[in-house]
Amino acid sequence: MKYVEEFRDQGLARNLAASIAGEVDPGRSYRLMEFCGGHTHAIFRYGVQDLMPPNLHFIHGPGCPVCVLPIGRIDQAIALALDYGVTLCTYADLMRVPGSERRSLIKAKAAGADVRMVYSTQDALAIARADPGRQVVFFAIGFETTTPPTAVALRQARAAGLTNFSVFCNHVLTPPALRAILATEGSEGVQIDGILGPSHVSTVIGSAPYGFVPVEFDKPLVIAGFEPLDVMQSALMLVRQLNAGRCEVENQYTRAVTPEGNRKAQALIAEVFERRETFEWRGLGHLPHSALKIAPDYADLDAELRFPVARGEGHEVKGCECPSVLRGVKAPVDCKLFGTVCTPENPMGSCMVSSEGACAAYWSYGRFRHPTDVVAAAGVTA
Amino acid sequence: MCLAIPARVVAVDPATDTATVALGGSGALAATVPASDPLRRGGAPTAGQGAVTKGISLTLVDGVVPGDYVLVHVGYALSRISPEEAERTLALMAEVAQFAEPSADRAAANGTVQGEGAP
Repeated sequence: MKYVEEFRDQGLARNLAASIAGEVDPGRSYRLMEFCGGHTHAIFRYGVQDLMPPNLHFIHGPGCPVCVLPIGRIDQAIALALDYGVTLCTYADLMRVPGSERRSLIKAKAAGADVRMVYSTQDALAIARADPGRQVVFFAIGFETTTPPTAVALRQARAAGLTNFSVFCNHVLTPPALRAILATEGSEGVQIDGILGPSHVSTVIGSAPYGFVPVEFDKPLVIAGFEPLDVMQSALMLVRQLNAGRCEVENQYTRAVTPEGNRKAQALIAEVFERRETFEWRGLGHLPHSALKIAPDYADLDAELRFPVARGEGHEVKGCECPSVLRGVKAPVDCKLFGTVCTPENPMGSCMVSSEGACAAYWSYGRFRHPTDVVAAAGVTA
Repeated sequence: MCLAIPARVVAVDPATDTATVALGGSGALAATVPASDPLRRGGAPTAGQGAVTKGISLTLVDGVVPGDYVLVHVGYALSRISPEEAERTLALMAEVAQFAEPSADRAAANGTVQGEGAP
């Protein structure tokens, strides 16, 4: 496939690796946080960490929407499907995320709830159109990439006068999460020297919103594509910035990301959504202005108003280290549950569910890299 | 969740603001089938061998024409891929490469290369 295979080229990868090895200063360390789960996935799947010099480390960030969704919101969605008997449509990633008492949407479906996996908001709209007698709720989740498609669906539902369609909105914003990570960096959080910025989120919001990172936090940021060569070239760009004492926002993913982003998508988001005062993120806690809710003009399509559900606390599985993994403070192998009771087939925490989660990436591609992992993995694979 | 996939636009329907795109595959058919062949559907590029075709919404991106590459995410085109910028990025990687490694090693490394991006 064009624009995929070229950016996985082995020869170029070796050469980029040689450049990085040649340019790093052996006297210092380079701790680069990849914000997105997509980067984490590429780093593990293609063995990018193994191509890096020993003093360059990737630290996994919170950029996995499924992982950061607090348990309370999963509980609310389950309650929507069970208590109100609505048809709950959602992206497949969410089906197996454990809620409180290890319930999940897929278990709710098995218990008789009408929960459906959809590929697109258009599919959810089609289900609503096909059966006007059924209330259809789209469980919306994701960063700025999935937000415009939800906005389009809301506009189309309004235009078509669909009265049986509504949205349970859980869209979250990247820059506030980045700010939260950087605000606790160093003292109580993780040590970071530079950041690999989101790729597809940036196609929508552009590169401009990251301007605060070098100015307020003194860290360089390079917007990086999701293919392995993109990750490596971005790492090289960060190494060069750090070596030269520069601190800027740079864009490696120029084939898709512009400074201004997708204006049309931004306008749609601004029309249909507004910022929440605060929103809870798993691992990061309550972050101000970090999520979106449906704007007053579209309030009649807001499932939270149409089907009020009590907001519970949400209980993490005991021993699950997802919150620390999401902050980059712990690695998946530091969790006692990793590879023993928690596997992709039987996930205890959200980071093992989504393929973008750090635990799932470690499990799928990296669990035999360390001797301790082999011991951990042996118990379940035997 | 945020992983969008490059896809080639095969056909555009301006009335519904939707497109048919080809995901994956080698693109070999499109390259080898002559423009006069009925498979080309009036000269439009075909999906290509091994590709999956899918209908997507063009609501978020204006001015898409058949032959363009777009990033597809949850059934929507999110942005157009710039062929010029992609070439520039690959050229930069190659430049880095020439600076980094002696030519003998490069030839050996390129021997195992898959894909079409080798300089």
